[in-house]
Amino acid sequence: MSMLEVNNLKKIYQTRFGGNAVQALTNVSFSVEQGEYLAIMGESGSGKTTLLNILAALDRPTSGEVLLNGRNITAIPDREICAFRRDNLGFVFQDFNLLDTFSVQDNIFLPLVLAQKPFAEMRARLQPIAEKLRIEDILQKFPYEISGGQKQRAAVARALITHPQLVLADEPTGALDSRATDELLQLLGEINDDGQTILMVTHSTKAASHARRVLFIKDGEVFHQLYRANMSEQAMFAKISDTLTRLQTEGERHE
Amino acid sequence: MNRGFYPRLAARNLKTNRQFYIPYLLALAGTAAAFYILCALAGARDLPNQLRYQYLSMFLFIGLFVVGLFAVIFLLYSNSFLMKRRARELGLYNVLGMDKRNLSAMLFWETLYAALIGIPGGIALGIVLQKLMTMLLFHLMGYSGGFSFYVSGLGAAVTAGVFFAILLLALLRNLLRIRMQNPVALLHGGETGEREPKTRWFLTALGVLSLGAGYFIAVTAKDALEALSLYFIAVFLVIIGTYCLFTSVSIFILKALRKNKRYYYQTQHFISVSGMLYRMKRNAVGLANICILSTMVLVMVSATLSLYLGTNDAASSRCPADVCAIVRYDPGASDPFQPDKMLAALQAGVKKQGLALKSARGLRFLRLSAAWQDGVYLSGGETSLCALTAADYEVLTGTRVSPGAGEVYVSDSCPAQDTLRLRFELSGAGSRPAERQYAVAGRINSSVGLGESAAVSSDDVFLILPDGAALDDLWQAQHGALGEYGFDMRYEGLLDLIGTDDEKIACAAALSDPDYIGVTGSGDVGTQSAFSHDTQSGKSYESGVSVGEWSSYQTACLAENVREMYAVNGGFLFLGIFLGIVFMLGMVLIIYYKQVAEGFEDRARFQIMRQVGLPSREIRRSVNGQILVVFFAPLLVAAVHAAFDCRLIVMLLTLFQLQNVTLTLLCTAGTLVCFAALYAAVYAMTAKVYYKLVN
Repeated sequence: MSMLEVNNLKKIYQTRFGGNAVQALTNVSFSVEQGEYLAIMGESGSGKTTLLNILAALDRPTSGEVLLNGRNITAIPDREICAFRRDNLGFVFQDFNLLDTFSVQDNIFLPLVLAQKPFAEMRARLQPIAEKLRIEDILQKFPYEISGGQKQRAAVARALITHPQLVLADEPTGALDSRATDELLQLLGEINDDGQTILMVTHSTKAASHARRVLFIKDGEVFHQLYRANMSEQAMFAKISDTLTRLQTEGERHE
Repeated sequence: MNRGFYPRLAARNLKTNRQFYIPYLLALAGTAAAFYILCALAGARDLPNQLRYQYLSMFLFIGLFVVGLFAVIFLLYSNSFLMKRRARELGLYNVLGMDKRNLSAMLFWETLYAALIGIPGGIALGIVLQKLMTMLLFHLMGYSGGFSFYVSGLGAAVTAGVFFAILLLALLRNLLRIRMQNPVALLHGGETGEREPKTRWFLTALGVLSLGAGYFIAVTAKDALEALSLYFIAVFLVIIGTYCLFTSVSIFILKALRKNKRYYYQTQHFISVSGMLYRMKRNAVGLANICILSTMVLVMVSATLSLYLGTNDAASSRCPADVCAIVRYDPGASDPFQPDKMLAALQAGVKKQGLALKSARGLRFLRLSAAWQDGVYLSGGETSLCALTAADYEVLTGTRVSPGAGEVYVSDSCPAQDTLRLRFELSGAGSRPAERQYAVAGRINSSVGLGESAAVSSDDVFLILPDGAALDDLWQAQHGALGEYGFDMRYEGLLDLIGTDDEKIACAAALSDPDYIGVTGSGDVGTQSAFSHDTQSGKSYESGVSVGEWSSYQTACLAENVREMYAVNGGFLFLGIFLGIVFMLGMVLIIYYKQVAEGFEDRARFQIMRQVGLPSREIRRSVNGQILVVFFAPLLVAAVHAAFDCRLIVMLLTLFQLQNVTLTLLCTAGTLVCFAALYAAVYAMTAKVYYKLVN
């Protein structure tokens, strides 16, 4: 059985006063295996963010289901949803979403503190992650004192510290320069090699080329998917570019 | 750009920023109205030009000065808040191609509009409220004559001048601010990353020390005069302490909490402590301002209120009967003063006035100042000793004590144990010291009303001597040693009458003339009351019955004292309430602005926490707690300040003849309760703004 199964997901946004309905997701189905590294690509307005929000249990679909290890997360009652998200999912955002009022270490501890773990356990969990992400030196600093790349690595540490089933990354390289981007993508690859399942939403070809599989969505539907298999990153990059071009041109043909 | 561009742009800016500008304009109008009202009242033409009203214009000028100073500080504060909030907007205009001169023109027009709306509006509001305030003032002062309504042209002009000047100052500050900054800084003005507050050891220590010192003074001041001389030092120390408390001590405590890992890394503490650190950093000065304003309101209102409510008590401790006749005399004279004849003459005088007598009594006493040193009272010092006979003591209090010859009853506050020694001595050559020694036969409760003589201090130590001879002997002893520096022997005739206040006042005035009551003698003659003395000196009266020699003769009237003291205390209370309202107004605005600022700051933080997995319910609970602490800490600290201040105020009020401690405590507690209720109401109203911004 797959770790994550998404079946016939549909989402329609109704404007407040019953105006025009907007169909953000038409019919999306896919699955993610344990230990997989999946990238979802698409243009602005293709429904990527809606999809991610539903996977993150931040939003509910109009119809369809999302099964995480067999459990339908769209049916989890509201009062459990925060704890569920905390225990099972890790998040990495484009603009880091670190809290200015906490040091880097405290930002990373935040989900553990919310889960009421003892301090000694927090320290023990942080140690290997900080080492891996090379942020040991900046743990006592504050977000406004460190670079974007460092902030994003801190955010990744925060996502990993709960040992989540699935890490959801929303444009993680969107606010980084190219050097920091390379570094982060490499780290994500290494984390994936250690067995962490990652699902990344992006429209950066470069970011997507690091994934094992790339899913393209367009107008609320899965349009195409690519497996990397044994391809090199460069080859994958070229292939993704081709697919994106096709996505564009075919889109024009439809209109 | 055509000519009407800036005025139109400025008008539109005021409209779009109305969330900030409406409160600002209200504050401007409110302070201008308060200023105008005080101006108009200070120049009130229909108050009679009597002595007891002349204090009023002095109070009002003090009030005017306070309101003016408050307006300057407060409007500049609001203005800088507004400009900080608008930094981004101004930066955008700059980037879009308005240079600094254009921006200045825009700001000029905005200020002009604010002035043209706020200042005339404030004066108009002041004129509307002026009548109400005049009624309140006259009522509190017990002034019963009618008053006419008038618009004070001078008051309006002065108000307009002062407030235009304040706004001009604010505009200059804004222009300077724009000149100093580049467009990018302006554009990002609202969102520069905030540094973690530093622990400032020096300020923390200074805060703890000065607050401690201020409280120490409040707790240890021994008497009214010491309280008066140290009061403003204590206030100053507490103000410094309050600023340090909010800016540094709070940070120090929060950081200490953060160091405690076991405490800090718990869900509710984690978010609250770190959130509070930044909140305190941003709001410390504002909160200290709120705290100090609150304390001022509390102290002012409670002190003036207890003074006002205690007026009757204070007046009767000055003048314990409807009419008091006060005679100073020399017991050693060849023709000694005869109290009984004097009392008879006074009674005859009352009859001549056509008034009925309820009671008439008299007492003699000798009042000395001395210092307690090595088991002896040494003449000249800060303690007042008051000696009287057992017979007079019984008349006065209804309590009989019977000291034998060479014995004395003393107040329970007297430090002497078995024997009481008094020593009279002048320093320098040729001194002839004298001493008297008495066995202490027993103790009395010292809260005895002793006419005008009890006025200054409640700490008088009373000595009850067996008879008039013993009293005269004591006088002789001190007179022999101190000569012209000695103390007066006094007689007070206390008459209670049946009649209206006006009749009693007229009677007291008539009785003050020795010719009228038909007694002979020579010396200073006159009437005295709370704030006035009317004396003729050195005249001889030959045409009456001889009552012996006396050196001065005066009358005082309770009703007159009550009227004068109401006139003064009413003026005080009016000023207390009036300034209280103005300060409250300022506080409301600061709280409102703080809520708005907090709302904007918290919006982003809320979102992140929700994404990281903190349930909204939890966030709201934590933030609620923080906001409550932020807004109620000043109230709490103000209440503590007021509680410490209470002791000083009780002592200071004795300078106004108010001895009623319970009344002062009740007034303070009552004011505190009312104030806390008002404060909570203000908080509840402004909190809505906050939640609207956050959600």
